[in-house]
Amino acid sequence: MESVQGGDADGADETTVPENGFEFSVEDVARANANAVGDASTSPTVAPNLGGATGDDGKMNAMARVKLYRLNDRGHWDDKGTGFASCEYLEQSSSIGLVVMSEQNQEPLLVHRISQERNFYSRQECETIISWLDPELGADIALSFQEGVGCNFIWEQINSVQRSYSQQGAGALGDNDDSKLMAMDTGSEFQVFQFEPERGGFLGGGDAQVYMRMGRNAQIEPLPEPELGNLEKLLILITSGSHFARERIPLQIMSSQDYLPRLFELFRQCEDVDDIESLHLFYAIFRGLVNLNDPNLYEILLREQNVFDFVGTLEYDPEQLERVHHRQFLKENVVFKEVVPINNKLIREKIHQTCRLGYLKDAILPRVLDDAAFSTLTTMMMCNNVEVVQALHDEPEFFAELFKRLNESKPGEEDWNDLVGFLQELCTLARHLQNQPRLQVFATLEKHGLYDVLTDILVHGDEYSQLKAADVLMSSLQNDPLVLRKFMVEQDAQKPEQNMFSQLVRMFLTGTDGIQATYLEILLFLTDPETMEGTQPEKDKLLEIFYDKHMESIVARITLGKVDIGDKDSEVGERVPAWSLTKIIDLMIFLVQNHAYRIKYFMLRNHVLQHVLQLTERREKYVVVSAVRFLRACVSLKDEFYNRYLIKSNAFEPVMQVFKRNGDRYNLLNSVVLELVDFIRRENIRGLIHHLVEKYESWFEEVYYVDTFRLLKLRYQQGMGPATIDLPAGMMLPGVGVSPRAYGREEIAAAQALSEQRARRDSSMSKDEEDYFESDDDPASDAVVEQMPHHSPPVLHFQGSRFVPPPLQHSVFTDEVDTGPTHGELGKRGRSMSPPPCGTDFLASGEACEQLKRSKPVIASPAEESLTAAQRNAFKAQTTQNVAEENSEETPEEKQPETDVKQTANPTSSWVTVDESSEKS
Amino acid sequence: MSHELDGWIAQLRRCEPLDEDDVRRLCQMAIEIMVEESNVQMIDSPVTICGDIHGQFYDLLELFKVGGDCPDTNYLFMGDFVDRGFYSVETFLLLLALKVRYPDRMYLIRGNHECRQITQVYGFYDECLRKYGSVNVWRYCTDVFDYISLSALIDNKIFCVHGGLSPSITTIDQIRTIDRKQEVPHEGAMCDLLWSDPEDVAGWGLSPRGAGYLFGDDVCTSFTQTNGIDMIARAHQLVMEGYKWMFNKRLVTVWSAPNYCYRCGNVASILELDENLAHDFKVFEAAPQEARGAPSKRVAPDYFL
Repeated sequence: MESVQGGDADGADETTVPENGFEFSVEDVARANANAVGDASTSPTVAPNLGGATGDDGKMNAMARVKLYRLNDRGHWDDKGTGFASCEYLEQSSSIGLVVMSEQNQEPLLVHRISQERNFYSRQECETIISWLDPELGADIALSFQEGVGCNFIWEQINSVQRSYSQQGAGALGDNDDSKLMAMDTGSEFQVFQFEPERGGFLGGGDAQVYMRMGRNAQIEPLPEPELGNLEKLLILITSGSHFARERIPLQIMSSQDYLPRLFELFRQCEDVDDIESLHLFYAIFRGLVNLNDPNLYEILLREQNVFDFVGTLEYDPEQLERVHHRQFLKENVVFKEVVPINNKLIREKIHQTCRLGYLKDAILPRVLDDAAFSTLTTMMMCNNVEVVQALHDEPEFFAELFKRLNESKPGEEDWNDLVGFLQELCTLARHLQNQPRLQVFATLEKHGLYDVLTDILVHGDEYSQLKAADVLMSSLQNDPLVLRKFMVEQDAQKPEQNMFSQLVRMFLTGTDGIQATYLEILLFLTDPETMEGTQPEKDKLLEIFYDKHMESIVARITLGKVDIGDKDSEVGERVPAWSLTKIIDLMIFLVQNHAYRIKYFMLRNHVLQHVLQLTERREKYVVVSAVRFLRACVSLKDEFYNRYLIKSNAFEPVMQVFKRNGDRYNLLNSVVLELVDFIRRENIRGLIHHLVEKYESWFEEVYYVDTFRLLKLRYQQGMGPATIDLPAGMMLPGVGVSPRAYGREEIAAAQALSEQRARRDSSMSKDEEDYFESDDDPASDAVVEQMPHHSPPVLHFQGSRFVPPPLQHSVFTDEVDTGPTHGELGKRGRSMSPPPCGTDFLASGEACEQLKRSKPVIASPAEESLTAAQRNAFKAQTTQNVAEENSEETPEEKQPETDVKQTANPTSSWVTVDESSEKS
Repeated sequence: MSHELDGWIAQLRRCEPLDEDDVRRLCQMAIEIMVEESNVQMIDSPVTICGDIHGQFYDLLELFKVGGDCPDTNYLFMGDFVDRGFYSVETFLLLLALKVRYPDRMYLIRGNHECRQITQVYGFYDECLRKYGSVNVWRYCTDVFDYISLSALIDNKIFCVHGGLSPSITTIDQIRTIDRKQEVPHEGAMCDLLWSDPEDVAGWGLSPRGAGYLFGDDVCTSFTQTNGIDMIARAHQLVMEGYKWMFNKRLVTVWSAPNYCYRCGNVASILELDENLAHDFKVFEAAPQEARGAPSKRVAPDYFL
């Protein structure tokens, strides 16, 4: 198959290494251009199925012009001739080949089957040389392109061929009966087929035009006049032209002053006479234009003078049963509220545009947008937002005016609500700025009294504004938690009552469900030792205030929660909703896990455990479950101090009672208690095993349905030998029929590393604290503790949302990479695996936005672009089988951001199967 | 109560989301019911088993058309109600309302997308924010996720789970000692049940998903024998024909989102089991007349920036 012919066409000049070695004479270039132009002028404008209809001259163009080199034995590059490179379908081998046709005699200089091997090809120097070690020729081959564009083009094609190979397996292309591949040059000694007739081929006539455009003497075929009779032609051009032909359409439209206006005029006329057929064409045309994915075109379409006609055309979706009145919605329902006058006209326009972009993306076209268009729209919105926030920040009086108005208007009134709404949006957008500008914006906000305003909102606001305030607080905390902490400490000193902290706690305790959950998140953030840079948790001023002033009210709430028990009909002043209790317990669990010293002391003094456990008598089963989980959190610390306290205070009694009452009913309560007992056994927590067996052995009989208690007793009888299963946390003992060898060494090592990392994080107790409690521990139990692998405390169910991150940023799982026929690299949704080009921190300035406009966004699925319909079908058939097996959703764990590590902690992370043999031995 | 629920169900069937406060109440009712459910739900035949739905609301209506309405037909949905489609809110709430209204005829088990982290990336979070203007609804729903059961056992013969098996679970009884009320963990039994996939491997393999495992024919056989069951039904993977047998018919994958992501071109199926556990797959295609991309009535209309 492989052959280098006509190598002597140009004489086998011996040259040095070909970098920079491609010098074309002026004549060469002129001739190439002449070829291209000549061809283009004769080729049809609309080229949906060029098939091979065009002459070979179409390939002769400057862009794909290459010199072919072969490395000889003496380490020199032999010049094997000059020609034109293209990717072609090779029928005989059912594969795609890279072909170089000599420019002198139209004979192939090189026919090379594209390798499936990754990194087979390399690209060097100025990006105009592609080289590889050719196994069949047994030599290094290099192609030196005249133009970088040509090199890009071929490089792209090679990559996409490789991608499609890797997804469907080699040979699949040729096996397909539906293959519409058409002969292009049946005369030559090998069959050259166009790879992609549908799009005009790799290098068919359609592309010749493109090359021509890219060339210096570009000549653009005009678009059909915007007339009724031409709509169809225009549509075909937009939707079925070759990729490169389509790419230039936006430019053509934009370069004419009146093309769009005339098109819209025509649209209005059609609408007047209810010409549904044409209106449907208009829909298809503009939908097609959107998918051309040109940011500049979007900008023009969304301009004030165009937007309503543009959106109007999109109302005529023939597949839509009922016409959706987008224009009406945009005109009447969407309200722009300018709470502080924005003088900069450009900025105002940007704000409107962003809103329309969002509407276009989320409401009008969500299901027809392809990946590239989707991410372009997202990126544009992001850029706009960044620009707007920075422009407002740069205006000298704007923030001052905002805060002046906030301070002057009366809380609860409409003006005020709007101002709060504005503040919230501003802060949300500011989150997406890059580090430096973000810090600046927040610093300016803080300087103008952001926190005082927030305190006002918390004290005087209604639920609506309190939720907004929470959001602002979260933005500020994520920006820099230290600033807010500092403010809260200072404010508390000056204003001990009705300050921000007390309001936060009050709302957490008594707010509605939504408020409660939101403020729980803020409290967790504020009290999280991990975000306290530099200070020891036990010395942290804010925590001191929290424990001194607010913990009591929290515990009081729990105590009050007991009131409902028993006499639910009696009228007792204030009641604590069951829902609310679970959130409060969630907070308490977090404190137990993270504030070793303070919470220990506090619990002891205030009988927190007893209060919580009394909630096991609540009627609502989920509160009971929460209470048991609190006990589980204490146990999970595996702290002898706690263990002795649990025994002494008889903490298991209420839990075992409620477990017994529940009987053998298999519900969540049953499972939670079983898990707790199983944890104690697994971890070999001696004191607790003794306690449980000695006190409740007579009850064990009742638990016939699982091994848990039987095994607990067994462990007790074994006298607590060193039976702790010696696997790192997170490793699982294989069950019956599973060979331990199924786990590779790396996997175990990885698990160990992970568990060590986790163990480090979990031991939130500082050295000081440990010393403090050392005296409590008896040496024997220390030894046991030493032996045991560190285990993770139970995860708080709300932790997943603790930081409510902008979705793409903090993803831990990266779910389904692919979806069906667009498997693997193909059709990756911009919003899933690969974040839009403009990630949250990615763009900071208008500069980047400019760049976006200049350079066209990367097409998400180039491989898809270069498959024919037939190949796609073939591929689909293939994936029908593969998808089920390969539908490789998600999650490289490394993606996990640092802050999320704790989330992995959970009771089952160390779940170990009962291994009978190890149990008995 | 049932009157109010019927109202909600009717409203949701029209693809109209409930008010925020109604969502809150519905979710609380659901939790009260689900906290009483077991990690392995015991279900009697006849029942119809469904796979992933992924917010494709109109296709869910199609499913009910094909399979019969609830409560006339008993249903088991094997997770992944949300994300990806445009109507995760309506889809999940409709299923939840049906669950609350007919707890013994509608069974839900948890999928890997019923999780806070996943939903923040794959659409449900954004959708809630867009449709309600605050994340409250997302919070209520994700709180419910934590209570959803993990698996089901039909007539003691067919084990149903979203993903697959776990190396740390040999017997179905062991599932009982999982505290399921938590965010889906990144490892361990609960994670595996929701994330694993069957594959032509011997024993266990590393999953390319990064969570859960691949398990082979031998694992599947040993699990079915140990537990005296006929087969395993699961979802989690797109299959173009809507269902796919593996391992000598000891395992079946059921997929119920036709034209997944509105562009995969696959058909969907549901598995009907009669009183004798005879199988009948009903294959269906995407709803033909979905109101395409109709703007939600709840797009927050005011904007400041």
